[in-house]
Amino acid sequence: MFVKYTPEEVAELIVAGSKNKKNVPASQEEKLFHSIKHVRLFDNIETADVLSVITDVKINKYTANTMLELNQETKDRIYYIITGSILMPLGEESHVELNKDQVFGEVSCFTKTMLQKTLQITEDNTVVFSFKINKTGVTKDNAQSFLKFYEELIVYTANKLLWFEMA
Amino acid sequence: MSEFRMNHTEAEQYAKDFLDAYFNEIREVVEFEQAFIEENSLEGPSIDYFQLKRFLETAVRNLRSIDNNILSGLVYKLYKDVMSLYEFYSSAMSKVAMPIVVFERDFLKTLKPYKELGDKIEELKSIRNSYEMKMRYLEGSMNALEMHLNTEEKKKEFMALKARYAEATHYFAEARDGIPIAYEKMEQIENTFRDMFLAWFEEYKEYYLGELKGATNAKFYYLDKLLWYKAERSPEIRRFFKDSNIQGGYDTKTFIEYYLRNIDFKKTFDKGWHGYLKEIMTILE
Repeated sequence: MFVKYTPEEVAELIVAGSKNKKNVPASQEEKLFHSIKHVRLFDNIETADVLSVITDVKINKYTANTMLELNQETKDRIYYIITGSILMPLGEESHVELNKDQVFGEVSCFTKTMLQKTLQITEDNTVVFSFKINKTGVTKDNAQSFLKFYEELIVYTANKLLWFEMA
Repeated sequence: MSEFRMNHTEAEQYAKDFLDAYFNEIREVVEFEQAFIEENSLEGPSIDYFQLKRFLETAVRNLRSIDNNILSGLVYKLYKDVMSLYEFYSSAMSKVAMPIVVFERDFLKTLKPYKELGDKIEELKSIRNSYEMKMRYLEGSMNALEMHLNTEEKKKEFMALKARYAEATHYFAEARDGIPIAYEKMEQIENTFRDMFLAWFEEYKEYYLGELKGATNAKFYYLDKLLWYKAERSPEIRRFFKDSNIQGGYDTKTFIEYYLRNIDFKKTFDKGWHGYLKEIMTILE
């Protein structure tokens, strides 16, 4: 009894115990933890490793017909569809629909080029998880995590390309 | 011997002073915990976590077997804190369970006139008993002598025994009659305080024990939330949830549902366990 808690410990209790999490400022880590379980891309990577690999996490919810611009500003951002669907243009006339658990915007990470595209949300309540790769965060200790992440990403990209072929 | 003289206000103050001292340890803990909750604007739960204690302990044990690090740092600190508060609450409940015993055994003895009357009764009983024995002895001696009162000397001796017997009878009666008077005085003192003491005791008990339970309950709530906050961040536990096909959030409710799914009704223990889980599930819902 008469246990004293440091301000940092109290802050942690408040975050953990808050009934209304929206009232608590969400840190990068918080955002990640609350969404990561829906992102299959990270299924085979330890949570701690995911934290070191990705940065600048965003979770956006869209209504149908919203246009999503991929441009210079978003060139380092990788998108993952948690729910819903998005129409992605392929060339000038064709397009393909991307659904739940599919990735887009990642190709520029491999090609180091920027492709300007306008995507159309086709379903209400489409939730998209997006992030950037923490390029400055790679160290000897976590290099393996980066490797695993790139491996997973490549698999997703390959599957997507296959999807395009089938479309 | 000091006389008992107290008016109602003085008696009430005396009782309150005693209760302040009696509840002092509990009050110190309550005030410390209240300050902690208020200063940090912590929220109290709307459910009774005391009923979830058994499951929380099980959850801690099992989560620890999955990830040994779960019970470390702040979780460990809070766990120990909550458990010691719970123990303290249990012992405080025992301390206040029988107010009448506290009144008779502890409170009344702090009153000097009451204590002196108690001592006086013991003394009178001792006097009464010793004179009773003396009277029996003298009776025997007189009976033996009465048969042979054939000389002046024996008659004189008999008269002396009779006088001693009369004296012993006097002191015996004085002590014997003094006992109920002392008891009556003690009863008067008891009556002056009893109802007032018991009423105040209930007020102190209700307030301090209620506050202590509230504060402990709040910490139980934070322990529960912190435990799952950490569990959600544990790769081992995340993997366990995935492998065990546990659907839902990282929280006690989900874990209870998982336990309920795995109940083996063939085992007697599990029947009781199942009943308990259903009960706490209702509380959480």
